[in-house]
Amino acid sequence: MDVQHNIAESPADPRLAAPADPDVPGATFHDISTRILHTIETVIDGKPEAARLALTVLLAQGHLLLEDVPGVGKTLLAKSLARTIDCTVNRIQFTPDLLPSDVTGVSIFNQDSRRFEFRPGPVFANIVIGDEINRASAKTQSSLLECMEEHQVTVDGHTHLLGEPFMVVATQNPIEMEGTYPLPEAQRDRFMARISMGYPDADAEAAMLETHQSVSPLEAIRPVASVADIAGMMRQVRGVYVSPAVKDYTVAIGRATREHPRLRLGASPRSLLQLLRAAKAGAALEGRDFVLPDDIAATADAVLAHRLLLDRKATSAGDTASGIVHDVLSRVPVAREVHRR
Amino acid sequence: MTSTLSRPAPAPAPVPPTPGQPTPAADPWHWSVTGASLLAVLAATTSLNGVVEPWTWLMPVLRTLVPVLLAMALTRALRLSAVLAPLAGVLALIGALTAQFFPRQSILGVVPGPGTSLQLQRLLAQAEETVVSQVAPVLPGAGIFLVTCAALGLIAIIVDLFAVTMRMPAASGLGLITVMVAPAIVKPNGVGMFAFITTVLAYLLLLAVAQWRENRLASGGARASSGFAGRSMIIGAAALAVTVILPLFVPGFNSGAFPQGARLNVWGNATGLNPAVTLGNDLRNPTGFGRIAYSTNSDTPLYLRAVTLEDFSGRRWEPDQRIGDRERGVSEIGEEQGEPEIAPESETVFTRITTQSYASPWLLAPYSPVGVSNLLGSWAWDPANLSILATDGGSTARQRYLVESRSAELTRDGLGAIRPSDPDVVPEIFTQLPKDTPDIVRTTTEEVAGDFVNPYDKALAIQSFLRGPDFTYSVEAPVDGGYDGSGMDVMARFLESKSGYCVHYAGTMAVMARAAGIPSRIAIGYTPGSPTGNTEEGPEGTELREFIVDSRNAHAWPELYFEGVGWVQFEPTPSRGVVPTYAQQAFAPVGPRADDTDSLNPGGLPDVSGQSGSTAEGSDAADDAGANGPSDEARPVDGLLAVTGIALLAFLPFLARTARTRSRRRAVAGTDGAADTSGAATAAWAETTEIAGDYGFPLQPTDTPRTFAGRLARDATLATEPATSLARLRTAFEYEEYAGQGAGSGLPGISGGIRSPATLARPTALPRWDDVDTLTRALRSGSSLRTRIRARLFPQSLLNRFRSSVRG
Repeated sequence: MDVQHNIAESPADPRLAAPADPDVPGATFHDISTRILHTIETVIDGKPEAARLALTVLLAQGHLLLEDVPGVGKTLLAKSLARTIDCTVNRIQFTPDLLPSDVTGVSIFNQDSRRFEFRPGPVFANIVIGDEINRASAKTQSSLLECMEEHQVTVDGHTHLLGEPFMVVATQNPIEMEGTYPLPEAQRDRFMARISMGYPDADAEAAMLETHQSVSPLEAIRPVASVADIAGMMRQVRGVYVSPAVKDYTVAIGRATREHPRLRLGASPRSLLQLLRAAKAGAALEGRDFVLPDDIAATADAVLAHRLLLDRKATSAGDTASGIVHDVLSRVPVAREVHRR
Repeated sequence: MTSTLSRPAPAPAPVPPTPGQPTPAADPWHWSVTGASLLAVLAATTSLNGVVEPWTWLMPVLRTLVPVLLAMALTRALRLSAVLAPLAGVLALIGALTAQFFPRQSILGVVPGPGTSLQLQRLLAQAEETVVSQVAPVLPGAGIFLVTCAALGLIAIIVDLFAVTMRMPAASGLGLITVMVAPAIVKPNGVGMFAFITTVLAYLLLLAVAQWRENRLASGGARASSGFAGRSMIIGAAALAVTVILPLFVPGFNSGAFPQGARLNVWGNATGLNPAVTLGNDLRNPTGFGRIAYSTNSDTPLYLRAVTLEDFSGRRWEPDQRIGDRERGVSEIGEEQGEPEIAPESETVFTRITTQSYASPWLLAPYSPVGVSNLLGSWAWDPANLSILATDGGSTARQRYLVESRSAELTRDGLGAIRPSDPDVVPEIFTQLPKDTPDIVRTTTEEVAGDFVNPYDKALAIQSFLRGPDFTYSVEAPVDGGYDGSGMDVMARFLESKSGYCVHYAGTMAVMARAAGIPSRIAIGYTPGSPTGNTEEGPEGTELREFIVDSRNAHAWPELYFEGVGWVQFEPTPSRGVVPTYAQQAFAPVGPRADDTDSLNPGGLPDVSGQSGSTAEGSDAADDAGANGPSDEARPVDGLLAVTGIALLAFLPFLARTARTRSRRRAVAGTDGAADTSGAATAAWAETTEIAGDYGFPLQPTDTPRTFAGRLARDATLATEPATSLARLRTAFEYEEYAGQGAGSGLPGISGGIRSPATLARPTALPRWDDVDTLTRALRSGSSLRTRIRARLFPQSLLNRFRSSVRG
């Protein structure tokens, strides 16, 4: 299969190459993030939390897994996030017959130069949208996941670095759907956060029918931030301060999931690290340069739920991983005993 | 900041340093604990006030304890092995005792020398003598102080060992209790409120200081949590208040503080060498023990006499044994010194006495005995006062003996006719007044009896004065007033306070009689008691009627000497005993003064059968006076104490809460304009959460500042202003708690060809106490009266704090 077929938007798209709004010199972190979120909201009605989380993951340098039934706007969210930023975006539609080389790229023998030339796959972009990742074979999935972890591609002994920023936004149908290969937990662990879109409420749905029936609002999106902006924002997120109290709180949450009676597998140390990173990005989006326990709590569900394995009893009782994360949050103490002072 | 998620790591288990190995960590705080130990032992020693003369013990005890504890602390300061501390303490104790008690026998003042052992035996014998013969409070003496100081020194070593070396301060309480055992047994009021409270407070202080040291050790010397002292003080004060208040309501705790209600009496019923020692205690005992039965054919009420006091010098009056002057054998008792050549008419009285468990070296007999039969053991009588004493260490216990005695038939007219004379027929000991006789004795005697000429009239005047309405009978008042016992100063105190019991009445009358020129002595024994109705056959075909006396009949009365008549018994104690006919105030004046009113025995002297009944009534009335009279007086005081205590207890949480708010307010105010504002926002937030908790919006452990503030604003429906204040307090706390020290200033901006410097805003948030006040006012005004009262008087935050410290 030709790789090009799977790429919906090419870097050559003139709209993406257009310069960002020149009227906002001296824009701050807050200004840029507000613009991005505002732009996404013009496309995705009634899902501000999902948009915010997606931006959080981007700024925390993580990868995002969008999971829901078909037709609730997973791909639309991924696309709109990608389009608000003036960067390269590739989309891969995963199918059962997609090969690893269709993702990473191949070395082709050039008759003229009599040399093997590497032809980069769609993974070479700042934002890669992997549609319906659970439709691909395990082998192809893992080739993408390797890129996500390593930020590089190795073909025929040559290593090719991926650009920065690099973010994979994968969408996935629930595993009950036919013809899917569910991601193993080790690979789910590579995604910083999972978002379930959920159905929009009635008003938002009506508005969506109204706006989307004639033109696609996606077409109207113009980038509002540059790659440099995003890189700078990422640096700022990395500099957000995490107090020991917050670290302790994070650790306590992790331990509580591991000791939870209805979980077979709790949160891994890596997941706690990602939770902390996401919380830092969340704090920065709130305009703070330090993390509050509230930031941890706000991102805990998205970051942890998809990594937890429920035991049989919990599954049969209808418990969900999200429910257990909320249960954990309601038990782990956070209030510092200030009266001791 | 581990405290967010888990309690602070517990202090390392108290491991006593291995002997021979110096303690590694610097620990200058042990000085404080040793100081607290000293205070605690001293506080416990205040209970000795009343066992020995108040505060006389202070200097000897200080001179003992300070070197001992100093030596122990020095071994620690020098980082010597832990086993050396008690050793040093013992050596210092020996040195201190030697320097104080055996300076002449010592080498270099502190090392016991050759003669120490002999002197030690002497002092110990002296101490034993003091214990056996003196009534508490005993007079200060080297013997008793040696024993006291040695015991306290050892206890101080143990207390310090527990508190500092072994780091088990709670166990040191055992040592303090040991100090209080002796006072609890010996003193009529038990340990006493003052000493008890002082000791408990000092013990709490010791615990607090020891905990403070633990905290310092655990934190490596950093300023550690100071909450412990406050908490322990609250708990301790509450417990103390309960201990003080509870006895007032629990039957059996008649008065005073614990453990008076359950006071032991290890001395049993023994009266020892000095019956005056236990007389007060006997009278105060509501149960009545030491039953004695006697049968007599006397027509007049019979007083059983054991011993007399005639030497009024010294601070304690003691019976004089006069072993050398005694005459052995009591089957026939000869004449008493000073007995008139022509004895007044008398009748012979037979009395058979069954002592049962009553044990004393002094034999009970009616005055004046002429012979005793059926007596076991070796006995001797004293010609000076006809007292009968066991000479072989025997006692009256389980004896049944017959006493033949003479009862002189005296009349008012006969006595009233006696002219004043210089009574040189009785030994001087019966007439001497010590030089230190208080002026009040002489002036009072002059006022009362100065108008009379004849000795009998003087005696009657004194008796009437003491039986008059100014004086009240009380067995408790002398204890409360601190003049229980005997002695010239005790009599002076009695004359001032005009409240006491038989020892005081008898002693005062005897002293005043001497001041009026009448020889006198104090007899100690028993009032007539109550008849059982049984009769038995006596010698020479007489019929003996049986009477019962017990400890409640213990009594003292004066005997006055009249020339040509001999020793005559009087009864100045109101409501006790029976006033003899000759000693009753006549309706018609006998002497020069005729305006005396008679308030004594208005019915005159009944016959013996009726008399017995009235004696019993009198006795009961006395018991009532003894039991109810003082307690009726004490009740308002008890009530006041109880109310005060309850009020104190009720306001304790309020006071503690207010104190904490104040200290936080100071903490916040102290940072105004200061460069270092650390802690202020946290203090303000702590106050915010606790105030909210007091008004029913408690901080949950899983609450973040935001969730808590959000819930509070919603549930308490805060108006804009308090809500803004709350938000400000929250933000300030978040910054102080979570933002770190250097955050916010050194963040990298977006660099490298960017067109917009994206920076994170960082508002400065200084805490303001006004916000706390605003919020408090809002919560208060939004609450019901009940909630407001509960929030002030029983603040929930105190309880939570207590719970958390228990959990912790």
